[in-house]
Amino acid sequence: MTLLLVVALPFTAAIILALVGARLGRYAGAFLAASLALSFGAALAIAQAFFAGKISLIADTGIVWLPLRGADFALRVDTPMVPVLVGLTAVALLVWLASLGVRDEGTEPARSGAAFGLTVGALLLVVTASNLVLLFAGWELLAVGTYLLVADRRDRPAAAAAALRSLIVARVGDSALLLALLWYFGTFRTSDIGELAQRIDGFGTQPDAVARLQAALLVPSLLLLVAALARSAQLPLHVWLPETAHTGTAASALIQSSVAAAGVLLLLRVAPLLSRDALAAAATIGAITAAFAALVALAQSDRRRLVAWSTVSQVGLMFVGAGAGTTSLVIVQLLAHAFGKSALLLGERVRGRRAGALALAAGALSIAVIAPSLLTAVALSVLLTGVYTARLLRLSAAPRHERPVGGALALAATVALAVTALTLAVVTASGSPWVATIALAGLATGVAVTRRAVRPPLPVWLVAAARSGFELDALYRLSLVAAFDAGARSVERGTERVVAWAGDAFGLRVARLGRQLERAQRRYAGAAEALAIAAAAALVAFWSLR
Amino acid sequence: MIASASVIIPLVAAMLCALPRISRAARPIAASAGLAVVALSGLAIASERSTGTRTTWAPQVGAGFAVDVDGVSASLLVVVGLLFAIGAAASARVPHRRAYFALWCLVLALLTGVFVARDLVLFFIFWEASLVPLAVLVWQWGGVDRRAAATRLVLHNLAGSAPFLVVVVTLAVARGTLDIDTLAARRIAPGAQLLPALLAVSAFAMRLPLFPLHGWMPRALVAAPIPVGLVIAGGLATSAAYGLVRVSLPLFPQGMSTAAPLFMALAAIGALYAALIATRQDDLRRLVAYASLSQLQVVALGAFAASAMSVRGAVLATASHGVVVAALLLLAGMVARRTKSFALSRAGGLAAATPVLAMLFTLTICGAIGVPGTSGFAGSLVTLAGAFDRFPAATDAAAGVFIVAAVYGLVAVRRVFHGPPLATGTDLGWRERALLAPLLALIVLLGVAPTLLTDRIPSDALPAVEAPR
Repeated sequence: MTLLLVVALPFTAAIILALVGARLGRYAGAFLAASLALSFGAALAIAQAFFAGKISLIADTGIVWLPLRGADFALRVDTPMVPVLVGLTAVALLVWLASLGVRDEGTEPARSGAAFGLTVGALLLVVTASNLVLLFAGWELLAVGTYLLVADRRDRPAAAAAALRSLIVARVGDSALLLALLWYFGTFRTSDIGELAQRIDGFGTQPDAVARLQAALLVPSLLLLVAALARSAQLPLHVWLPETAHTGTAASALIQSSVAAAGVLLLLRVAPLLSRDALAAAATIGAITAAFAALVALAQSDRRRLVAWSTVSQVGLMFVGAGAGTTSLVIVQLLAHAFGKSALLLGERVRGRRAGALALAAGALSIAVIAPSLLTAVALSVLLTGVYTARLLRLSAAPRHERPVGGALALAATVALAVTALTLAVVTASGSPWVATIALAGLATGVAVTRRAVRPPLPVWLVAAARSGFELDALYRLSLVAAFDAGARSVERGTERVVAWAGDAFGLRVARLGRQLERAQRRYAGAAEALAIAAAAALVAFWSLR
Repeated sequence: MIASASVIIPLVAAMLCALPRISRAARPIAASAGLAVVALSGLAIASERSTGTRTTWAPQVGAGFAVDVDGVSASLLVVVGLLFAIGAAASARVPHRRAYFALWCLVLALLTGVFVARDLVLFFIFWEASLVPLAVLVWQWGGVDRRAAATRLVLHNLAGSAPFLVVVVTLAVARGTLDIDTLAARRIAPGAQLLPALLAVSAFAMRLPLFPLHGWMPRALVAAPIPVGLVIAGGLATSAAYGLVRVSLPLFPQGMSTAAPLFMALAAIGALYAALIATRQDDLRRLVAYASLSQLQVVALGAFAASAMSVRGAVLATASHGVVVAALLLLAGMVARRTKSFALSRAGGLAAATPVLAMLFTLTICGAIGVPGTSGFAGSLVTLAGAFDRFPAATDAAAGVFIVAAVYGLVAVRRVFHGPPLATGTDLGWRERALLAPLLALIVLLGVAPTLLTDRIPSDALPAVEAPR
């Protein structure tokens, strides 16, 4: 029941705000804050139950949603996901509270609140769904919620285009997830994640069956990986996140801290269903993205885009961990990144002591998440991620009295961000030297840059190329978008014209035939009688010949 | 009793609408006829008593007056009746009201007859007859292209349904009866089913419309006034899907199974094709026409895959398509009233002036592109899951529609509502909201609780589990 509350409250708040939000006016924000606080409280209650010794919690309403086996409204939480649940609800609550004092132009509290609630609810659904169909529903609603959040700034013309791009890329991932879902359901006849994991584990005893199973699982696992890549803005589906640089305070904080991590959450949740090669591929792609995005982030001169690219990079590091199978470390990293990144983004706009204190509390909370044994390994990764904050501070070269709550906040953000890099020891322990090399390269870049205190020691041409994301955006626009447009245009002008012509030609033939018959009838007035005699003769002949 | 009443009541309403004295009440009478059909179908769903009537006309041929309402026809009739009621309510300022609403009720009566007929001759009569008043409605009250559109509507559908008569004659000769349920119990030999299946399917494929035979539909939807467009897209397509599922599938299962690969390929290609073309459209009505076409190919996919789950999905997707396309057409009309044209290039930035319209339009587009929580998603997912077993390739291709649908849906939203304000207008009035509310409520209801509809489908309406190929 409590678990249902955690997920249902943000959704209900979003629906109410969508329907009557305009009437609530200024209190819309407070209404959503209250719902999020209740949701957070429910999550804390669940965490308390787990501390008292529970291992897993299932909330099964027994209501069948779709007539597929296993597609019920049922939620499930296991021990690894409890900190995620608490952390995400806390981040959502703190972000919304901190943004209450900020007025973004072109938005309204009711509309932003509805989109925010929808996104948070969808994210929690992804974390707690017990079957693949409900997971897909949460995934898709997350895409729609992100679209609404990004499109919310009505005063920015780029907002709608960026929102469209985010949804199209998300839909690519969604259809991959759909195909994987269809495959799993068709093969194992159930969509419940627990049952699927059991059936796949059940093959573990026979070695040749395991080999065949791994080969069969490869394609759906890759499809699930594509879905995760699309949501978390990893290569090659990363083009939507840097475009969201203009979004409002709360929206950008939520998207970059939590929504971008949803891909990692997907991988963690369906890990028992994936083939080993797919997990290795996840780690590789994550490492490549981390290095690539770090390079691009260093070359940015726009503050918001730098933060977006840094998110891409750090989620890449989380993918490395998810691919290596170190669930608890990835969760620590995820939570610390969520808190730290939101603190960073809020710190830009939020002024005043109250909001600053809230953000500091968020940063402090993130420190509390750190397990002490990790501190040594974490120190190595401080260099890579601290670079972003240092560069960010340099870019905020505003006069002192205009600078938002800076120093302590940035320190908290830096420490929290530092926690988010995964340890090299873990990486090398997973046995893939390729992955370790790339991560080392990223770290080396970070070390080199830090020693130079912020200005990247890279040649000008590299910086210029990196600033635009190595022109991948333009490449996509030329290849995919242009190809799509050309294909649609040729189909419209070609096949559709033929179909319309065929229909018209058929109609013309019939009309012409009718006119000819009419003319013939007039010309041969006695034709009707002649036809009748001929028909009678034919019938007589037919019957006599039978 | 209920079945005959649901045909007779709209007929009586048609005659009432034609009376000169009460011409002001023609619109409420027409709307009430639609609501009466909804109420009778709801009664049929809820009641356990038998609802059918059976008498014999021509015992030598085996034809008779057999009407009955079962779960599938009752559920689809609820949707069709609702569409007719809302369409009548939306026909506010039409010239020659008496003729218009009389023809409207006539179309409703004949289309309802298609759903309740359980005798092949009766089915065929209602099937062909429903075209005539519809064509008159398009011819007389349509827009610029109306003559050509009405001609193509009639010619294409008549040409497609003509082979159905051959099937009727074949079955009358082979089995001596034309009662659908009796024929479904005693099917003709499996080897001989292919040709009759193809001929029967041609009628439904032309009206649905299935991919290469869709030439008449976009033109008809653009030329017809919005309420008549509702009937064409919602009523005709629903009747075609019903015919596929409840007439050709029970009578010729092996024949349809043999021909299934071809039709599945056509449906999968057609879904992507229609979605691709929809992204290029500038006229909102043409965009809705191609969006509707894309959704109907998924219905065809489910019907031809012929597994129990895919047929459930096909019925669900049909109901969903009816309400979604009706809502889209009404919203297109509302946008056009504010921007003075249906062209997307004339619209822009409406969200600032009409936020409620923007929200409802986005919600309906979400229903069209298959966002979970709307009926479009429920129908698509159940259909694809049911079709995946025997036809994984076609299902994979059809899943690509998700991506392309998002393109055309959200590009439409962006061009109408976002961006610099090229157009302005007042927000939705209470009348317009009242028109849209039942449709949107149904979209969300069927999305959140689709078992309300799929549980009503009787198990003998679903194909039995066949041996795996």
